[in-house]
Amino acid sequence: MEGKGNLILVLENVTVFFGGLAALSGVSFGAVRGEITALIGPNGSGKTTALNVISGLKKPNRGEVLLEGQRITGMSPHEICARGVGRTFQNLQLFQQMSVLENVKVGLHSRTRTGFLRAMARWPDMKREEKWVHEKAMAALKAVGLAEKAHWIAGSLPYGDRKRLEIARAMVFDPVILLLDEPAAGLNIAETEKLGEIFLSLRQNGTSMVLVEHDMNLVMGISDRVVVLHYGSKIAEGKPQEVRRDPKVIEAYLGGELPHA
Amino acid sequence: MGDQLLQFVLSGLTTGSIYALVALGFCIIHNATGIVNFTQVDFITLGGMVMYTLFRQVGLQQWIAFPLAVAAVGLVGAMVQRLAIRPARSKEVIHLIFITIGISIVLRGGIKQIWGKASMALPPLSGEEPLRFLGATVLPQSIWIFLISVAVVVGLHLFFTRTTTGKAMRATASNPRAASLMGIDSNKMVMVSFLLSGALGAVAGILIVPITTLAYDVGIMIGLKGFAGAILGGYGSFLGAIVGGLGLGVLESLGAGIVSSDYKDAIAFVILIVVLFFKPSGILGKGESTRV
Amino acid sequence: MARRIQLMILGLLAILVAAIPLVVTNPYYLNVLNIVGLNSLIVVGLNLLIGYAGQISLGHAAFYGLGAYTSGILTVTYGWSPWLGLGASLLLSGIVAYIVGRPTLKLKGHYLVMATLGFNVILNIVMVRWEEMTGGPSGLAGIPPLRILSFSFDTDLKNYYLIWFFALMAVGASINLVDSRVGRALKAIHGSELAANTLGVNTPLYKAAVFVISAVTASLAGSLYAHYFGFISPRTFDIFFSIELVTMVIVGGMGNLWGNIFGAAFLTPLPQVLHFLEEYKDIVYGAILALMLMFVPEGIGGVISKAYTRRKMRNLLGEGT
Repeated sequence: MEGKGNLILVLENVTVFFGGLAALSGVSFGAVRGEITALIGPNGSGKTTALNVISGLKKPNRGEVLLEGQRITGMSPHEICARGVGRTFQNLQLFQQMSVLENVKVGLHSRTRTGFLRAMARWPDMKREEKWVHEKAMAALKAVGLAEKAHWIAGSLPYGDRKRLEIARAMVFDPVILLLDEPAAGLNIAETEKLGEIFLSLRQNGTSMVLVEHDMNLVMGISDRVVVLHYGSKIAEGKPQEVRRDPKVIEAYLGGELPHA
Repeated sequence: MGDQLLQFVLSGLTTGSIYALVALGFCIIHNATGIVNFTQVDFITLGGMVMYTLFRQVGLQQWIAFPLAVAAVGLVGAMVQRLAIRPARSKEVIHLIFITIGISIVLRGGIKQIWGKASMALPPLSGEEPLRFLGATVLPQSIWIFLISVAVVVGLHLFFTRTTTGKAMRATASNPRAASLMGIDSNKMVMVSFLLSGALGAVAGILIVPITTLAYDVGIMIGLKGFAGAILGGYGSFLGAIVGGLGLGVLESLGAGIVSSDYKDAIAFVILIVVLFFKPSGILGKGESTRV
Repeated sequence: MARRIQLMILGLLAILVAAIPLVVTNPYYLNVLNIVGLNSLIVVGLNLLIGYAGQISLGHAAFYGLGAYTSGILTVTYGWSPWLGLGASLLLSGIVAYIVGRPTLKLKGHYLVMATLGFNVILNIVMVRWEEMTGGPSGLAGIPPLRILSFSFDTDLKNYYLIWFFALMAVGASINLVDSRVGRALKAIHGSELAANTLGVNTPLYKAAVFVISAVTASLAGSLYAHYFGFISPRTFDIFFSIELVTMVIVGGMGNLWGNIFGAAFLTPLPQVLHFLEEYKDIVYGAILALMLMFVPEGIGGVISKAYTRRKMRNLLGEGT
């Protein structure tokens, strides 16, 4: 792997068992700082499991996860988040009853401090903090194009908006790395392009990303590197164009061609 | 000391059988609906009460009154489902559980109205003379409790494995969608589960009341402990209910005899909490997904 | 509802509460209002637990009782000063709640319900059986009233102001809490624990904290009860009272603070009101509970807040077009 010292995220030999089934088998790869690393593979290849391991939702049976050189394997999800890992979910985990703005504000939890006692007593510091939270949240909403719907109830948003809300919520705290689980699923071409723009602008600001996706246009269009999983093992890794031509990869996708980029 | 131990174990198995029956009642409804049915405690009381009325007031023979009382309470169970659970607007577990709490309060109030607050006595099924067994004394009622409990368990097993309705219930419990696609009416299955749990509660009540006494709230402690037994054995599992119920009875009896009889009632709940804290899946360790 | 508006309502309520004794002087009614106040205090804490952390407890009568008995025993048997006893009982309840809460809150759904219920039963049995300490089934008597210097809270009226002071403070603290980073985190946990975790919310800690807060408010109510009535017995703190408390929360609407206070205000005097239906008290109470849950599961507060939200959305969407 080039630029080893520049790896913001490393998975070392990660193995995850569900009962008797190995969802991930000795998977190792790295994400370079400031790059968009795509994680692709047919359904069931272990991509979401990999994200779950990184974000701390699943403890691997074997292997390590390193964030900026520090071991985060086995840490609880909120601790990992505090270290700068943000993530979105494949099947959306929005807070349906809360407003759009409130959803995003929760994303700043790890960067704020007001606790129970201070909140109950309405400590003066809190006002300043709330102002900051409000501004950052609105900025994130603006970046994804949802600012006008800030006071809508999240559950009432159309699908495309919900996906963007989840992204806003995950990126609002300026994570060092953002884990995206099929952000383009269910979106049309125009919406997907918009998404790509958002990601590219995040990358420009220095945010690294791990992008799990099925939409090959998006993957080929914006990723710097691609890692391919198949039945829980890594079968290819490299630049997007290289991976596209890799025979192992082509065979994995039903022995046919990869969809055109 | 050995004699004493045997005594404790035997008496523990007696109450344990009752707990097992109650645990099965909870188990069946849980598998069908996912809820804890608080009216179970009143089914126990009702069993004793109806039996009392049929036997003492109507003057039927015990052997006729018994099954009639069981059937009557089973019917009450079915009515609870039909009138309170089915029409409920929300199917959320927590709402349904509290509906059963409300109905339980209503049932208890009704029982108080009909039979009064005073305690009553129900005679045992055969004699009162204790029998000797390997150095311990056993009430004849205890033997009836064992025998009838075994019969009930065997009957239930046959019901769930041999009859169409029983198999349909198991299907609904394990995969409600597929079951309804195959034409099984899930509402009816739920009603049957309430009927069965009513019947089980009634059997438990009728059997134990001659040993304890009969009052409008006798079912509460027995019911809650039966639930503790279900959790101990592994909630949701048939075998777990039996193992847990018997186990709880024995542990309770040993605990009361050896440690302290003052806090006897607390033992079951301490066990409940310990199990929930350390191994919520219970002795038999089956997960939530296991059905009857 | 916006925080400002809620605080204004609180202010109005405070004025109302302060003024009521000018009109209502009958000590019997004041007594009922005092119990409403105590129940409201408990319910505010319970509301946070049930409505925001999404955890149901059927054992809060245990903390009510723990507060009452600790205060009672410390003052009667050991001669402690009542305020010191109150502080000690708050601390004890908090610690017990933390110890019990951490493992319990890991449990799901009805397991949690039964664990709290079991806890309540155990504590209740201890209250009855540990006669040397608690006075057994006949209870503990001779509990002195609370005092500030030479002013003794020894009448219904004086306790009315004391109790409602605490109750309204609790409501205010709760309003503040909900509209804060903590409140958002709690709502997030309720909405999706998974997402809340990955967004940095230390869910186990927050759940435990809310459990402790709800236990401590219940304990505070218990101590106030003990010093008010001067006499406590185990029957007040059984699982049926826990059920009554949760009923108040459900009838008012889970997570709906004002609804819950309404629930407390409505349901507390109900057994008294149904007194003339003394015979059928239980049946009516149970029927109300069951029927509410069958047909209005979101509670009265829920109905009102849904209508309010619908209007708000209509306005927002209307503005867009």
